[in-house]
Amino acid sequence: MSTREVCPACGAPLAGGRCAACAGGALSPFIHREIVVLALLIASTVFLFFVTRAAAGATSRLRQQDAAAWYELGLAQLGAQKTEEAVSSLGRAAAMSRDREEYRLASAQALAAAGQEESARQVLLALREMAPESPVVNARLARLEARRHDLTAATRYYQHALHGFWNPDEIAARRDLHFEFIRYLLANDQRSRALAELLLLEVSVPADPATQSALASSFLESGDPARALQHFDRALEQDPASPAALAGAGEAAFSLGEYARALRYLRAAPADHPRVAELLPIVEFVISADPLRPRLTYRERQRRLSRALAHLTTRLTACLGAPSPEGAGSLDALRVEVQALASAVARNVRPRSLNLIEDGMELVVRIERALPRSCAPPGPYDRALLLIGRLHETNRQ
Amino acid sequence: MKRLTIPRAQQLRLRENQIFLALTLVVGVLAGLAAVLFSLSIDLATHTFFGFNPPAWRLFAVPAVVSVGTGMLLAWVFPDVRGSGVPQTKAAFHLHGGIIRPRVPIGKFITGVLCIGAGHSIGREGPSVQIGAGLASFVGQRLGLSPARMKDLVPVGAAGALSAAFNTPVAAVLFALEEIIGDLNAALIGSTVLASVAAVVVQRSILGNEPLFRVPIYQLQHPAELLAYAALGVIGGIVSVLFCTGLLRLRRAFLNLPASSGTWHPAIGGVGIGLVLIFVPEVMGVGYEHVDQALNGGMVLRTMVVLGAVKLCATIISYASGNAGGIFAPSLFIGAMTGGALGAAVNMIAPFPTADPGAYALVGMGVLFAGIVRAPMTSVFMIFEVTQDYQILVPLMLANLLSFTISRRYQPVPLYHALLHQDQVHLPGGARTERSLWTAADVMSPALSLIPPERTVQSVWESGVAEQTLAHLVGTDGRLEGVVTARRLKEAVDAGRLADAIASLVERPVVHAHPDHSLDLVFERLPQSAGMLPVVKRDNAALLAGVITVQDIVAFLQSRR
Repeated sequence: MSTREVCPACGAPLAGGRCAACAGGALSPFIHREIVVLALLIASTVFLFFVTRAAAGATSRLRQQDAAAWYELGLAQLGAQKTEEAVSSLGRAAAMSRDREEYRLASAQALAAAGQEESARQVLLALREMAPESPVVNARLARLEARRHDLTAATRYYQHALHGFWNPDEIAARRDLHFEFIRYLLANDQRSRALAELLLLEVSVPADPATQSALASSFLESGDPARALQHFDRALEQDPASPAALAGAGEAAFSLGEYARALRYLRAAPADHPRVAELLPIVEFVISADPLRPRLTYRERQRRLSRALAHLTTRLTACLGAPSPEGAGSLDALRVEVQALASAVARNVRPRSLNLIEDGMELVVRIERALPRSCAPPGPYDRALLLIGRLHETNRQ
Repeated sequence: MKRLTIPRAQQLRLRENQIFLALTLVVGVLAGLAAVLFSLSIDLATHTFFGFNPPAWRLFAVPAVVSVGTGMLLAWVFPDVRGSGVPQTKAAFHLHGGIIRPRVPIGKFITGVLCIGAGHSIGREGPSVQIGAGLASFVGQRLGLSPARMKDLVPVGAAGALSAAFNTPVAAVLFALEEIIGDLNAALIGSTVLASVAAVVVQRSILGNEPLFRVPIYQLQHPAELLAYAALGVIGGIVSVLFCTGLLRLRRAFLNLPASSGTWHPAIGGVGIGLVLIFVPEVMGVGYEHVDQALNGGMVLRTMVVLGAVKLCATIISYASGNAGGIFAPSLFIGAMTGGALGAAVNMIAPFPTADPGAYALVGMGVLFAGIVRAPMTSVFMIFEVTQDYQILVPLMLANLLSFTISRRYQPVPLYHALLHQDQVHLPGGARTERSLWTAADVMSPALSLIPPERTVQSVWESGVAEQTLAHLVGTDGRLEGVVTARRLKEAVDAGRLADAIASLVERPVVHAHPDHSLDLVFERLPQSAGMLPVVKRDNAALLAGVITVQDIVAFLQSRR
């Protein structure tokens, strides 16, 4: 049996000691052209990989530089109210450097400024997906929702922002945001929620007069004048001449019915402060026109009541003199009643009856409440008479 | 007896199939790297040419001046690399056995970087496809692969390059199958998938695992919104037709100029683009940053309308003047702007809740791609890969279908084919595609009367029917029992079987077709059926629906002219 010689590389029969199949391709029995070409290809590919990676690094740096330049340009355009250009520039910066949160935040800000609130919201929501605890993103979203009048969403994002991840050096920023949230709640008539937030904020607020005044103002607005007065007092302890604190304290005391204290604060406050100009005359009347105030002579009581009755007679007469007055019949009856009481008070020299004064004040309050607002707007004296009536009603109860 | 053992050297030998498998991976990586490097080079070129926020004179001068140089390169050194590269790759696959000259990928790389980097409004994906395919072909030629394998490497390289250029591996595979090969069922699916995956892995290892576009999750806010998406499909279809028509007409105008002026065509385009860039620099180059902005709702309505319209014109100028760059990216850009603008308008006026304009921009991208490139499957998967969100698929498919239908109705020849036609290249794919849509139901004539099976051979023979037809259909009440050929009838008469029932001559099984069978199948079966192919119903194959003869086919084809 003869053994055929075969090619050690491919197994094909050899002719004259040579393999016809491998003649073109084999460099040696063990190395074929395909392997060499493949090896060269792989080597070229590896080389190309590193070249490409280096090029990618260089391009990435250039893109970062360009993105930063577009960002600066966009901010400048935004500052110059060129909102459409700012949207384009900042959007470009955000697209070029996707990992920079501030670029996208600025882009959202520009979009909102350009009236594209839904788009701004989308940008912020995309950011929030990446960083759900970001206070900045949540705060921006909250403001956006506030502009869209979505109270629920705005409240949710404000709370996410407040409970997000804050750096230790951002305490003041967090407090400012908390104040902003409270102001937003108050502006939307959410006084009880605002009060709850204020109670949370109260424990972490520093003692400086400005912050104490701001906190007190918020308490006052949310319907807690007692706490408001307490914080205004703290502010005044450090800055007794603070106009805002004096006016606020006066208003808080006024709301609490502490008119003497209110008068003290309001007189110390600048007269041109709008709340002072409004409240001071009322408080002065409450103190000077109350016929039931303790330690007054009977004559003084008579004088104060007579003045009130005369004022109301004038108002009723003016009201009835107007063309087609509202509820003319009942007003006329009240005028007759006032005139009768006025003459009774004038006659009542002996025996001195405090009941007459009390009845007189009751009638005064009744008339003030009955007078239609269309008749004549109540002045400080009218408001003071009402407050006096309410004060003594409370005392009686 | 000597024991036969496989020598160690023999184990080292790589058979062609094994080489091809290894090559698929290597070509995928190589094409991916080339595509990434191409993209990075364009960025570097753009930065070098324009810097940051360039002044008007520079916006005008750069494309004009650089295009003079690229015009010379394209005319004298690399004449095969003008335009997108996809039509040339298709031609290489279908007509040239996958052979692409080695200078093509080099030339495409250089001229593509210069043209796109100099601000021409053209895309990088088409050139990437040609570069990838060219590299694959070069490798195949160096390895001395068989002609069949040579050809197979072209779509593999194209898929790898596109996968890396667009970071969408599935869409890249579909594009290679749907657009380059023209057959979604091609046997090359495994190789293209392998190359595509290899390329995208390399691309992500260099550029990071970040999608090309950041897209928020969008969803259909209200069922009525589908109407808005349908409107987008219609508008997208119209815009696609405008784009294709404009591009082909302007290109024809350039081709009609004296041949000696060819060197200066890109420069003419460069001057045109320079003028456009002075006023709207955003349409410069690929423009994906602006697409990203539109997708994220980061653009105002007016800007999107202006950018969409100007980009359409700029791309027509750049491409028609013979610069090296593709229409893939411009179609996405125009689509994003069209969709975004419509979305912003819908947001303002719709009485029902609507998605953000970015959702419409996203669908718009697919719509224009389906309308211009005419690769509907690729467009759907591309958007799906970008978003990775099923919610957008329903409006996307609806809008794509409408755009595709409108585009096909008013621009019957796909753009890549039309571009090749202008260059006197006719691919085989287009006509076959249309024919494959025709069915037996389109061609068949109504069923002839059936011969009752009990009739004798003599009566059928004497009726004279035999002289008029090639075959006789036997059956009753529309139920086909079988076919008797004229030849068999004559043989029976000659054999003296005149008293036999005609049913005894029936041939089984009956070669037939169903009404929904393609014309290709009809062509295949007609010769087996003695010239008369019965068409029977699918739900009851005994019931005759019609018959097809050669005359029926001729008459149908004449009616389609």
